Amino acid sequence: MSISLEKGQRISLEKNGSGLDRVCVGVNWGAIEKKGFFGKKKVAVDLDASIGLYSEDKTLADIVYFGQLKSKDGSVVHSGDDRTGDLDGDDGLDNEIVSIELGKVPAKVKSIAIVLNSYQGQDFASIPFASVRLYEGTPSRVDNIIADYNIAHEDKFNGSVSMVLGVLYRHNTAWKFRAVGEPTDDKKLESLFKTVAAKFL
Amino acid sequence: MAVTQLVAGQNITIPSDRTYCLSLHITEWQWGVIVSRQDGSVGLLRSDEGVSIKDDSVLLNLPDIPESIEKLTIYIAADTSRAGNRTIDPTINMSASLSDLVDDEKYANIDISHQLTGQTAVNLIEVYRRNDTWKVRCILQGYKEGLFKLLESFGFTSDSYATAVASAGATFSTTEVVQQDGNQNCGDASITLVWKSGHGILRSAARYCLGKKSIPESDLRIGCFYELENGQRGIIYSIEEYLDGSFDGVPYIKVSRAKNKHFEQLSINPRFRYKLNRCLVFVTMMDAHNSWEGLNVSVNFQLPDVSAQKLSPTTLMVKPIYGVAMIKFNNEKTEIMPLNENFQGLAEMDLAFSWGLLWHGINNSDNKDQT
Repeated sequence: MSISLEKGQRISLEKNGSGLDRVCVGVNWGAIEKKGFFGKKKVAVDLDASIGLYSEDKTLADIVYFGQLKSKDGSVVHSGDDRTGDLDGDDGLDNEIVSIELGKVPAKVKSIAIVLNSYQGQDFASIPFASVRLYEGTPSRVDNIIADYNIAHEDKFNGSVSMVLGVLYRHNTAWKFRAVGEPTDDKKLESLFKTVAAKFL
Repeated sequence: MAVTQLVAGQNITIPSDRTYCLSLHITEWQWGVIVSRQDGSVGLLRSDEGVSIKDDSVLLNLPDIPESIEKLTIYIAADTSRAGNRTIDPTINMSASLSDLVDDEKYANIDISHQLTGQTAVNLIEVYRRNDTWKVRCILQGYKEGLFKLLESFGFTSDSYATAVASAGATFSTTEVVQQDGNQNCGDASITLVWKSGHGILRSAARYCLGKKSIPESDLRIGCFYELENGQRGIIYSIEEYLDGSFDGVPYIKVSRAKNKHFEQLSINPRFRYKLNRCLVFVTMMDAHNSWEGLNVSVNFQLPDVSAQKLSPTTLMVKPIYGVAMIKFNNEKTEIMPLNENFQGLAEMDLAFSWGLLWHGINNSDNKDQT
């Protein structure tokens, strides 16, 4: 069973005493439906899941986003940019998936932040459905959902176009995940990564 | 330590704390590594810890090999794409040797040539776990029918190994396999490009620098313009990693190519067919040849619900881009519309089909520029 995460909750990424090799973060969302003169119209929602890899001193060691789909070391891979979201209702499949091979992440990287922003600036509260899940498996095969949360329809997201989903971090020799789920005031990815370093690591 | 001459059926134990190098001297034959895992699954070597391939050698770093791997089988097979007028039997002087990588000490030699009896594909050796140690067994048994038969003995189906081979970059041509594959198929969606570089006339300087033994490593590339149901457009092209596309994410099409063989493939994720609208498949000729004729180009379409099609360019023109076909996904039934058109450049083809990609060099359509 997966846990529906609350803000601030921490979970250990261990299974039967050894760390997981790989986790994926999938984001599933839908296009906005607008009522107009000629009936309903779908408006594309371009959400972007991105990853920041931070070293001990909180400097950004590498990033993975739609413009760079793989980290330099190859440990983090993004599935590609979805610019609309589901047009015909929730298909239950992730629109963007980031996979992280934990064992391959370079030793100097101490934490990995998973962030989401709305490229066209539509605020999260206007999106009909949007959810994030952290799971064990590969982009094409979900073995076990570790955690998930809904991000649409929450008042706290009103007016915000950027958020921090969670942080994977090293704790001694193992990896842990901390659910964040906090909106930030940032408009662009670059400043979002700075906010993460300042407030969320 | 004396060097053991391994014969078929013989096995030896090797110390498990070291790194070994298995070097193959198999002239024109090709080879590969099949991985058997504890859970019973079998696959071609991908990027497994502890095992790597360098030129004609396999490096085995035994302490690093994950416990999930039970056995590695190294096979060798005749390269059927190079058959033809031969003056020398390619199987003479074939051998393999296993040595300790660090102190270069040889453990074993295998004389392959004198132990072959007409097979064209054989399992050469197995490296496997037995009670916490690693052992090596010389097998040298195989098939006269060729590599596909050998792979089938491991439980690969023609579909699964065509895909596996393409993505693992393994070193054999799957021409035969694709051709065997008949009509209706089973959910696998791919477009495969194969060709021979036999009779084309080399036009590049490479001809003078590399000598007559060299075969151009890869002179054709495959790609497509795509348009998703949501209107998103772009290009996938096997020329640069960042244009490889994505199987599990947008645009649900990924290109892969074999490193040492004339084999390239676009794989379409059938699960996301409903998100695709159309795609325009093309093949481009890189340097080294000046006519489509001599290359024996064949582009094989294997798409769910459509009978398999094989398209080849029929033109004497030397324009370097061959527009192969338009695939339409937007109806219930997928449609393949053959084109057989040639273009001087991708921008010209884009214009001809009003695809509307932006061209500054080769680039993704409407790249977002965010950071």
